[in-house]
Amino acid sequence: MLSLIETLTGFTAIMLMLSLLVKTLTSVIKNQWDYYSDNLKHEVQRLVLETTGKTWDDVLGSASEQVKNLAGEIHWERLGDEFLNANYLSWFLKKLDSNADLTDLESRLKVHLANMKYAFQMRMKNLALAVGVGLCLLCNINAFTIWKSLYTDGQLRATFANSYADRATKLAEAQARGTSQETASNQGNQTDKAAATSEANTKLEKNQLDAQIKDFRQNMQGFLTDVSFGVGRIWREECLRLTDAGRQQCQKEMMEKTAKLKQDSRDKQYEQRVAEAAKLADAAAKEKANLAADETRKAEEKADLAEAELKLAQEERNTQKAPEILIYEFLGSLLTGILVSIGAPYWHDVLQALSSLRSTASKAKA
Amino acid sequence: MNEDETKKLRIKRGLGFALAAILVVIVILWVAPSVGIREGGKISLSRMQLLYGLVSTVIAVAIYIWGVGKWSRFEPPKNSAVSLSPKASNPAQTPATRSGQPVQPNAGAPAQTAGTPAAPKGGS
Repeated sequence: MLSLIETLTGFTAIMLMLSLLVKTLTSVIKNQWDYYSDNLKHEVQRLVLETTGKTWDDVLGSASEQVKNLAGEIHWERLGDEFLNANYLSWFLKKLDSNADLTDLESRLKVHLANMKYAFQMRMKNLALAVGVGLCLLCNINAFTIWKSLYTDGQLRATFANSYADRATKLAEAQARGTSQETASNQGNQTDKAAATSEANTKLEKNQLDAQIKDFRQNMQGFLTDVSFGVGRIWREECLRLTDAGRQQCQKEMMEKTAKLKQDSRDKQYEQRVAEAAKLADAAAKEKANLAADETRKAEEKADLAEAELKLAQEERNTQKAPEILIYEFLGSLLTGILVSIGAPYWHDVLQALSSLRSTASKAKA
Repeated sequence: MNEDETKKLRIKRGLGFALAAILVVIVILWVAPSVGIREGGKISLSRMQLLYGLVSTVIAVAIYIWGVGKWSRFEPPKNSAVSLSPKASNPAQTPATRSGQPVQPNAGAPAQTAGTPAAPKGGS
């Protein structure tokens, strides 16, 4: 029971780390491409249609030059929620069309704002899903392999359920704190002084966030280098062929190629040793050196042969066929992609619940 | 937007696509030698690895287009004027289908008449 809880804890910690990576990637894409202004522009245009009875283009077509310039100078990418304000928009709509129906504008704006926020949030969730699935599929991060590795290796399980889980929790908390502080500081303070303070805070938090991202990158590198968990297996497989005959042929060719390379390297080293022996003046020492070179060559050949036999035995034991490997890796990676797209807060909560359950279970066992 | 303008827009898009295709070929030819693609060279990936990579990329791109891009319910139509204009001749037809774009239930508010606030979609 404890081993199962530990496996679950380790697995959750890994999912949390991957979720944080997906979150970082998503925010990078979000900052690079402006998704928000599309939704804002569309909602304002819908409001124009509702209040004036004309489409945006029709309104501008019949408007004066001044109004056209006014509308042309709107940079949607620079505007935020504050633009959907009754004061601003009643002025703006009156400018567009003096007969605009502005009754219940406040209520209408609330509906449009809710629409816009909902649409934007859904797009961002879908973006995280696309990033998560793309990352896990292309890097071939297989949830099944991760689970299997943790479940079968006690030491690995203990490491990931203890120190790694703690690190992941701290990192997730730090990132969540950074994000919420940044949001709060962006929302607040209207006065200049307060705005300046807010800017300074934001800069500070951005530095903190950068440092966290750096930490996180190091952790991820540690995660991938310490234990591979079969990440990228599909790209490392040398003989991934559809038919068994093709695979065997490829393996045979690879083995022959490797054997030839090793033979060449051995021959070269042997020739060097013999050449060094030939330089010796003493005949007895020369013969001794030649004998030593022969023995070394034989020992190397024996070691290489043993290694090749071991590799062959391992490959024979690996009965998975190429299509099976492909399907296994594909489904596993797809599952990981979907799991990590659920979101870091979810995995954080699950990890905390599992950690407390684990401590209770270990106390009961003791 | 009238039919002529729509036609012009389509021609513009077609030309853009053709130009992009030509650019892709030029860029690939230019980049190829530096990434080890040459005549008589061999791609180090097997067919199955290529298939896996291709399917993975297609899935990721399809999810993106479905969830965020053009096929998304939450992506506002690019040509808002067409999708928003109420036409008395055929009120049952949605604006999105009129403009030749896929139907987007949230974005266009097709059945909405002027002066009526948009129906709330809910929120989170």
